[in-house]
Amino acid sequence: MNWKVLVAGLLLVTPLVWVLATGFGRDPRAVPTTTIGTPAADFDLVTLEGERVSLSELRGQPVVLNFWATWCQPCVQEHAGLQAAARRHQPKDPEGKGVHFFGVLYGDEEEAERARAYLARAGSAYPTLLDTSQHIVVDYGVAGVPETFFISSEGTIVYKHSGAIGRSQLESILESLR
Amino acid sequence: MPLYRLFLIAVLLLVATPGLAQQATGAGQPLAEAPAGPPVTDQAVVEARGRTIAEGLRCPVCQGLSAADSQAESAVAMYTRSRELVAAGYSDDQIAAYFVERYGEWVLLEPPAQGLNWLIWIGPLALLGMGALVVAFRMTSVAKAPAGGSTGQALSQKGADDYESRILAELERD
Repeated sequence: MNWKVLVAGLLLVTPLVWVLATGFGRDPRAVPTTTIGTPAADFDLVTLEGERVSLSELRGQPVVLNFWATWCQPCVQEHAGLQAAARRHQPKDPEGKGVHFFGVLYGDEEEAERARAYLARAGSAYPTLLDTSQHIVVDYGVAGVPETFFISSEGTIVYKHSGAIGRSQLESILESLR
Repeated sequence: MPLYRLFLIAVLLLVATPGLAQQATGAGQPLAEAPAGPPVTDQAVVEARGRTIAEGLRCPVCQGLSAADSQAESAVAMYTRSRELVAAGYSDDQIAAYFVERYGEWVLLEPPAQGLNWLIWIGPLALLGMGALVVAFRMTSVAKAPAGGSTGQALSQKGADDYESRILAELERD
């Protein structure tokens, strides 16, 4: 066989195989995560119960933000695990140390009403913030729900999980966050 | 192997790897820099510029739809944010940079013509140019060939002559 033809063929075929192999191994719906290791965008939102919460006021303690919606089935699946983790890791008193958990709902008052009804049924161990302006969802680069952001006590996003998060995974991230 | 073929292969390989052209960037606080201009109060301008910007942004949960064309919640949020930033006086480039910081260059439906992205823009033209060069080279070779035909034709003629002389020899023997 002509070695020149062989080399030319390999030069053409090898990169194509590489492109196809990496392309097939990638989820086409996955949105790149670019916010890890960067400062978490500050926010000043109101909970479903009407209390104001600002991220900057929580500086010095780790924070978990869970973006969710009432129509989202994976959100329902992960709900119990998140509630259980919050009960274990949240500060036991207002001055105590721990991980602060917040749900974030982006939508209108109608969605807020559905969320109140859902949380009354399913239980709620932590407050849910209402992002009616939909600023926070874009500031955090949220593609869809559920997405869970883990913010260190220094205010840096250290991890983001897209999709329903499992209990064991949640626990190991929280242990590293404390 | 001729140099032009090696170059052609190199261009093909680079064009075939668009993933290299997408470089992620980091995120920070929302628009740390000041707006490039004064607030825009004309709602028609805000709507038009906001729509143009959103048309250039990829809907995060759709396939092949822009943020302006999708009704998905995250796409609507991006569209709304585009209009708000336009109204606040931010330039189109500042707003695009804001989205790229949060979603990566992936969010731009049209990658900017910079860095390795240039390959996406000049690749097809380069390939077309290389094709034209190959055709021109071939045509020049044919034109420069001897009047009696190309080397291949001369060899064929020689083969035909041999065949004819063998037939004649056979006939004479009979």
